[in-house]
Amino acid sequence: MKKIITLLLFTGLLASAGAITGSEIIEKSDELQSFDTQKSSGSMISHDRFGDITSSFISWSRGDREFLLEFTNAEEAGQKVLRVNDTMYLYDPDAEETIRLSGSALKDTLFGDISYEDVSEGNDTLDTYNAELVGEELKKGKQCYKVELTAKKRNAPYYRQLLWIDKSTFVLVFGEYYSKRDVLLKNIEVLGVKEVGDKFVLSHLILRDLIKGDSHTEMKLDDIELNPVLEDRLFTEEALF
Amino acid sequence: MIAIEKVTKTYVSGDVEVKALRGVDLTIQDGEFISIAGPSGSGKTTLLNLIGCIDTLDSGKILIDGNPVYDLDKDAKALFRRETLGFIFQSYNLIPVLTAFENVAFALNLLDMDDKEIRERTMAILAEVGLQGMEDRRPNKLSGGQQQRVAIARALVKNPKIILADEPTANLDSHTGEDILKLMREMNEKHGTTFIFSTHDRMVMDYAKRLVSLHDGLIQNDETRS
Amino acid sequence: MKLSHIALRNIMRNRRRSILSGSAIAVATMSIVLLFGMMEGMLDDMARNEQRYETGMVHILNAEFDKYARLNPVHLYIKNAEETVKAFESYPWVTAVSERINFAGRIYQDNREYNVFGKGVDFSREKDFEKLDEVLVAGRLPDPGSREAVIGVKLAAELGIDLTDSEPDKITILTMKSNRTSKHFTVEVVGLLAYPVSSLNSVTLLMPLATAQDFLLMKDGLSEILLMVDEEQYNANRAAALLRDELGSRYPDLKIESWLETNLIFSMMNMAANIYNVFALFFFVLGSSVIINTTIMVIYERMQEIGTLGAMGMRGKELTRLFFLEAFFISLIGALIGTLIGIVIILAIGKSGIPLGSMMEDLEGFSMSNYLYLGLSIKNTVVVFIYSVAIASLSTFIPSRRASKIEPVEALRAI
Repeated sequence: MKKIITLLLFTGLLASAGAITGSEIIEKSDELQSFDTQKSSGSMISHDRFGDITSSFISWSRGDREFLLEFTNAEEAGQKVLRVNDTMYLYDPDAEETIRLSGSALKDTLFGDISYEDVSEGNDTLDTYNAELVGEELKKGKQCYKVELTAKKRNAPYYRQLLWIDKSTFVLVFGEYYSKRDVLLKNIEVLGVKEVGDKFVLSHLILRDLIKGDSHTEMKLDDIELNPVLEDRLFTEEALF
Repeated sequence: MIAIEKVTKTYVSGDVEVKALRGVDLTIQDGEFISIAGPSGSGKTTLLNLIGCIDTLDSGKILIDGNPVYDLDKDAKALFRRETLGFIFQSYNLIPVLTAFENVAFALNLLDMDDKEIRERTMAILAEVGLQGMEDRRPNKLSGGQQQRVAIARALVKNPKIILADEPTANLDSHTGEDILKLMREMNEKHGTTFIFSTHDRMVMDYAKRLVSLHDGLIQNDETRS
Repeated sequence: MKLSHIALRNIMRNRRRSILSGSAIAVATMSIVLLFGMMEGMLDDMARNEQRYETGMVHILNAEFDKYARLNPVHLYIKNAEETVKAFESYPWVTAVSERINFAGRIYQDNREYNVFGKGVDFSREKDFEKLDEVLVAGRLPDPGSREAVIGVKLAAELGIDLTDSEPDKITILTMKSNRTSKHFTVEVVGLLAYPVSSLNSVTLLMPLATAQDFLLMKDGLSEILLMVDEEQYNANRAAALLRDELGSRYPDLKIESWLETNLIFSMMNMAANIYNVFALFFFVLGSSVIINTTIMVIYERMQEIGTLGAMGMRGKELTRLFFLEAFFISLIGALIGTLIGIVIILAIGKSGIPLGSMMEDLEGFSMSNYLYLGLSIKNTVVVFIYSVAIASLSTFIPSRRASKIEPVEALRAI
């Protein structure tokens, strides 16, 4: 799941053909995330029993280890989230210092159903999980590979994942995320994919935190710019202020 | 007048039945000074207790002034006793926490008399029994004879028709015992109260105006003296 | 010579035994007076803490909040706060008002996390409401509208803040705005609070209302309004009911409750206090066992006396009364002494309290102070006294009744 948000925010997916094993499918996905830089703007909309909340943002990323998001709507104006490698920094114009998150704090809510953790994971899927192709099936009208990921490491965010990946484009269609006790924690549904240059970028998806109950959060990317020139300084804690 | 007709009384003590009275007939006139004599176990205390309405008979009748007292319930007997009867015991039986005055006055307290009258009557009777000046002593500060005098005063103070005395001198030396008997007789003569006392002491019997002897629960002899 | 006089004198016949009987009753009574005093003190203390720090006497908040309390529904707050507060304040028997914004926050420092329960308050009012002067142990209260805060002493200690150096002590708190998105901000700690309730000291942070409203996007909003009322006029329940009647329709979005309605724990404790009546009963019966025994013994010992009195014409119920009165007087004196000792102990140490040490620290949710206070309630004490005398007397009534069953002739035969 985190992985997917990362995918969404960081890069697009390259279409490919003829993957056979689960590992190969995932490896291909990870490979496809290799890119230099990206800048995009979009919005997040959280829907729950209390109503809707909409925030807009601009995000920048470089490689798969550097990521910056700045909120642009009035309520959150100026609030930023920076990830450099495994460290997450939160910036707020009303604070004189950043908040550095790690460990269980990453499970806290950033926005709606999205936790900090969901935007903070790297692209080392096969280091953390064993992948197995468990079948092929029609999902949301698309012919998909059904890949099961099982955690290798104890600190993996989810014990088990089920991913449905479009056979023709290698783009994720649907994902389910389970706890060690096999409780379905979250799911993700991809509603839109944008073609930018020769790559595909997930541009519209819905996340559901099933533990929270009757809620879901939508993410949309409106403008996607691939490989813009970005200053090194952009991804530093100092530059947040 | 006390009329005792065919009174029997049997005690059961463990497995042994003791026939204390086996059909006693006796009539006692008002103002008598009568001794019930006999060896121990002859039934004299039982007879006294029955007349005193503190024990129940098995058969026969006891009428006091025509009143069938043997047939009264427990509370009625108590009320009858407090108004009509006075008791004198072998071991005095004074209330140890009360002074001589209070012991005597208590008999009147039970009769709902007003305090002034109680005081006057108590002081008078104590003087009569020769205890003037000792009113405030508690029983443990009085000699045996003095204690029995208080007991006599306590029995007499309410002007009962009958005073029952069970072995009144048994705990006293003969000299004191004689004094007590003299006092009782004096009171009998002065107040006209019927005195019935039990004894097995020859000297005591000599003071009696009438001597009834019991033997094995039956009247053996009944003599009136001058 | 009244029966009561004889009974009184009889008490002195075996002085040591009477003292023992009386002492047992005195100890039982004293224990119960102290137990009730403890309960009274505890409930008083909890009530005071609960009212000052948690709910006021009347608690006003968004009607929906409790329903979703589990979900931290920060968006369910009181809108039009200024106008609303004015409406509630207009009652002359409302003696104090607290306007509060509540937020749960977290401080991240040196790889550790500290939970904070933050309150935005109007210090000019809060000072009186919470009696902040009594708990402010260092520094000062924040200036209105400033980015300053006061925090609990234990939280300060954990964060290494002692206000002794000239460097400003700043803390940054991550929390949630009223639109349910995250927010963090920095405030300077200018004062330390030592609350009597231990659990508050490790989480509390107070900051100016306007600043909190600004940070949390709650312009003219409040999480809750707390009222103190003049209890001479209305108790909390009646005050809340009255406000509901008169203002409920005007503010249908608000829940107006008395602190007792809000705080079920306290209501339950109040009910649980009734269990103490059972304890009391048990203690009294236990305390009475000595005098029951004494009465039984006394009746055996004075058998001949019972016979004499019976022969003199005392009826059974009068004999019963005589022994009953004796036990009653012992009970009365014992209970009186026990009650007085209890009162003296309560007066001597009740106010200053008995330190409970760290025992209370882990009791989250109990607004109990670190000191056990003993409260003196005249009503309770009188009840205990009467209760004690009544039980001791009643329980001696049973053996006393034996006296009436004894036949004088048998009693006279006894030596």
